[in-house]
Amino acid sequence: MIPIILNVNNVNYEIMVKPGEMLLDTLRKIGFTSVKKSCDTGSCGICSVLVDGKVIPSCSYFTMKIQNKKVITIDGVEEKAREIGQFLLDEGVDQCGFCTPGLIMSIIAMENELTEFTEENIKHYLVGNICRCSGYEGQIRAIKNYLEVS
Amino acid sequence: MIIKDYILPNSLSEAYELLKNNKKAVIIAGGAYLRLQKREVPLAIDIENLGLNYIIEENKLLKIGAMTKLREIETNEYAVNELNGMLSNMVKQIGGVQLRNIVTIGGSVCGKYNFSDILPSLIALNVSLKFYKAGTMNICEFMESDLKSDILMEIIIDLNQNGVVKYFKSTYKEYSLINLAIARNKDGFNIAVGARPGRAKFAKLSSKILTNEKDIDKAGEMLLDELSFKTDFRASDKYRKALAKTFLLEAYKELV
Repeated sequence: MIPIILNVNNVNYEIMVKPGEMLLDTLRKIGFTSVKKSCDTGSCGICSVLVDGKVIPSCSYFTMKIQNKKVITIDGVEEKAREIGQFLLDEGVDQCGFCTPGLIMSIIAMENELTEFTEENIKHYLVGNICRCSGYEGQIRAIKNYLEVS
Repeated sequence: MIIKDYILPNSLSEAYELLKNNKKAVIIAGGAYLRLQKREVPLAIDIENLGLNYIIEENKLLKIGAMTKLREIETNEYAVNELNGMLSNMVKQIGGVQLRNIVTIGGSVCGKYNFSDILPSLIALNVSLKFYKAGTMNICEFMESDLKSDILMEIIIDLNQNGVVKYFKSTYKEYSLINLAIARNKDGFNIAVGARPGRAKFAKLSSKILTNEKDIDKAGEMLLDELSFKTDFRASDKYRKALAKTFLLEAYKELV
C-alpha cells in the first residue's frame, strides 16, 4: 500500500492505495458511492468525474496519477446537478437513474468546454455516456432545454 | 493487470534507469487500455510527470509529446487546420471524450494495437518517432522492430503534405472494421491500412502505382493484393476488402 493525498471536492484525504488501484475504486472506498461502477472498461461513461476540470472515466484512471490534481464528483456540484437533473426529470428520462451522475458530470464538462451547442456537437461530446433504458431522444431534448438551444 | 509497485519518476533519466534495471517493468502512459490486460507486472513506471504533454509547431514540423491526450489532439488548432484536419479526424471516434482525456498518443503508438485508428495516419504521414535511447526513427521502422526498454518522447510530423483518413465503425465509437489513410507529399502518395484486422501496414506497391501512374483503380487492385484481409467477429475479409477499396477511392478524390 502507498500513502497518497487525494483531493476530492476540495477536501484532502490522506489514504493508502494499492499500486494498481483505479480512481473509481478509491473514490467508492472513501465513501463517494455516487460514482457508479458499470462496464469497468472505459466504455460506458457511468463512472465519469472531473479531474482538473476534464471529464474522465474514473474506472480507467490510475489513482497514483492523481497527486496534485483535483477531483470533482457529482457531490461537489450538487446545486448544478439538481438543476440539470430537473431538466432530465421533466422529460421523464431519469428512469433507472444509474447513468445519470456520469451523464451530468459530462454535461457540466461539455458546458465548460464547448462554445457552440449544435445537436451534432452535443452528441459527439456525450457519445461516451451510455444509457440502457432509452433511445437518447429524451436526454437530447432535456439537454437542449437546459442549454437553452433549439 | 496486477501491479506490484507503481512509481512516477520525475525525470526521463530516472524513468529509463528504472526500466533498464527491471526487465519486466511496464511504462504507463494513459493506462486505460493497458490496465485491461491480464498479466502481473512487478513495476509500473508512469511517465505522467515528465513534461511530455505538448503540441508545438516549428518550421512546418508538428511536434507532439508522447503523453499528449487524444482529446487535446482532436481540438488542437494545428491538428484541426493542417493536413486537412487529418490528425483531429483520426482520433475523433476513439471512445468518448472521457476516454480521450486519458488515452495518449504515445501509448497508442507503442501499443501497436491492431485496431488503432491512429497508426494508419501516422504511417501514411511517414512520421518520425523520438525515443529516449534509440533516438529518432521512422514509424515504419518502429512498426517492424521489436524495440523494447525505451521511452517514446515525441512524434514529429511534417506538415508540408496533405492527408485523408477514413474508418468504418458499426457504431459511432466502436473499434473500426477497417481504417485507411492516404497522404500526399512532394514525392508522391503514401497509403496505409489498419484493422484488416491485422496491425496497420504501409501499402508500398499500391502507393508506388498511385505515385507513378496516378491510376487509382490499379492502385486499389494492388492494395487488396499486397495486404492481407481476414475475417473475424467484426467483419469478413470480403467486406473489409470492399470497404478498403472504396475508402481508397473516396480518400483519393478528397485529396486531389
